[in-house]
Amino acid sequence: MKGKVIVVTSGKGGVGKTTTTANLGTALTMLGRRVVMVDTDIGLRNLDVVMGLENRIVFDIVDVVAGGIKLKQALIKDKRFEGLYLLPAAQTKEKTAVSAHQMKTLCYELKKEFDFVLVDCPAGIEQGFKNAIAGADEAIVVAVPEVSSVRDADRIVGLLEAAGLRKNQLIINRIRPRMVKRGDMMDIEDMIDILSVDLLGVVPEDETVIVSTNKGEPVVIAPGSRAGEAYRRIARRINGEEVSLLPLDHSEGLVDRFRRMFKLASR
Amino acid sequence: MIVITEDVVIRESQGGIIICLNSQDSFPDLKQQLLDKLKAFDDLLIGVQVVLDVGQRKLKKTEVLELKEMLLEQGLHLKKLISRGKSVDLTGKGGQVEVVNTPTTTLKNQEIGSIEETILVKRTLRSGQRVFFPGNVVVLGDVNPGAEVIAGGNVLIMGSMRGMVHAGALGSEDAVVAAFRLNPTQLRIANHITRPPEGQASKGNEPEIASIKSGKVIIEDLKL
Repeated sequence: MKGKVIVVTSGKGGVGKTTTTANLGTALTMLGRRVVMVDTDIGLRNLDVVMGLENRIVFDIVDVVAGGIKLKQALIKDKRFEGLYLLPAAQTKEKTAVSAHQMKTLCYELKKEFDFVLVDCPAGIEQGFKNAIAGADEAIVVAVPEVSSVRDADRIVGLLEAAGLRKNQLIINRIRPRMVKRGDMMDIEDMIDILSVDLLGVVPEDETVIVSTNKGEPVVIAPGSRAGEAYRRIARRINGEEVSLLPLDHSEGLVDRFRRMFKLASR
Repeated sequence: MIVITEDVVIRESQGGIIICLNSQDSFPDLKQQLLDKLKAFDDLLIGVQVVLDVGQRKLKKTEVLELKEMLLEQGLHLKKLISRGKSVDLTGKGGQVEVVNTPTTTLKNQEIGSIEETILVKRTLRSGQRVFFPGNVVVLGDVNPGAEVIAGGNVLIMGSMRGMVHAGALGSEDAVVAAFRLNPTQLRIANHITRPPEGQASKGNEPEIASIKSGKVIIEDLKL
């Protein structure tokens, strides 16, 4: 059985495409699936840094599609999880170094070997975006609850539909439940109303993401992280399970706090 | 004055523009130059009346029709044609300024004919997507912010209208815009441009209709 190619895209930069790719890739591997993450942000590669694999890069995506290097030589095995691989972007080349056709072939080759191929898409709607979506079967659109992000996400969904991608799901990232409650932030309904796509999950704003990212560790492996829990749930949903959304009005009581401290101490 | 070039000059005049064609190039070249020029204006000229000054050039009747058609495709109306040449086809006399009204009846008929046509857009229009049609447009879905619907006739949105809509874009002031939820970023009818009042939360829970009444764009509840 062949795997699925899922492109993680957003249009706008800085909304969490790379973080989402890294965490979903890791979480899916934790569920026992074989996953490869492909960084298509040629010239601005990040996924390797977020995964803490930067110092293992020998060959990159351009070497594979144009340089005659075998896929097996370029794929980097994750240092923590069996069955998780990364195909890094080239840093010294440009987006045009890869064509949409080459990406299609690459994705086709990868999904023979893996259950999930997660493609980390660059920001923007130019060549890099066209390459990233070329071989995709499905798309995950990441948006934060800001009008500019929703506008770009809407444009992206339009372009995905035009490219023939029918299954486009939304991840709302960095939502702040308290601000939503006060009416100071767009809520989930507002965003779905405009984008009219299926909701795959909601990830709350969480400082542990920044801490993990800087350490080169996906937040899904950090204990007690809300964002990590949200990503684990999304991964289970991608894996075909029915999982409820992470409850957002989570106010951490004193008991919870003690419990969490205890949990942390016991690890 | 908007644009000056050697071959094609576009000037403003009362209620429209004058396009002067000074080029002595072949007709297809001239047509292309004019088209390029018009395209540079994007949508700014939609619905505008055009007076075409072809200078010393001789134009055949078929060429005039071709130009008229091309202008209409860009949303412009050819109202008058000025020719100084000895054009037999255009009843022009040598050296004299002749203003030839293009047969307005055929123009009107064309307009009405095209307005009767309606297209159905059976999806949500997203940011960056644009629909242009010389007749009526019906959208079975939403029009999101950043999307545009431009119609020569009326526009009916069976969903939320949050983007830009231009009804009667070819000059028809009778055109209306109706939507299930009318919250456009900008609403245009013929050459009237309106936007929702600043800072006022949209009412937006009833179907509404926008039309021109005594020279102003009025939005009312849609009651049938």
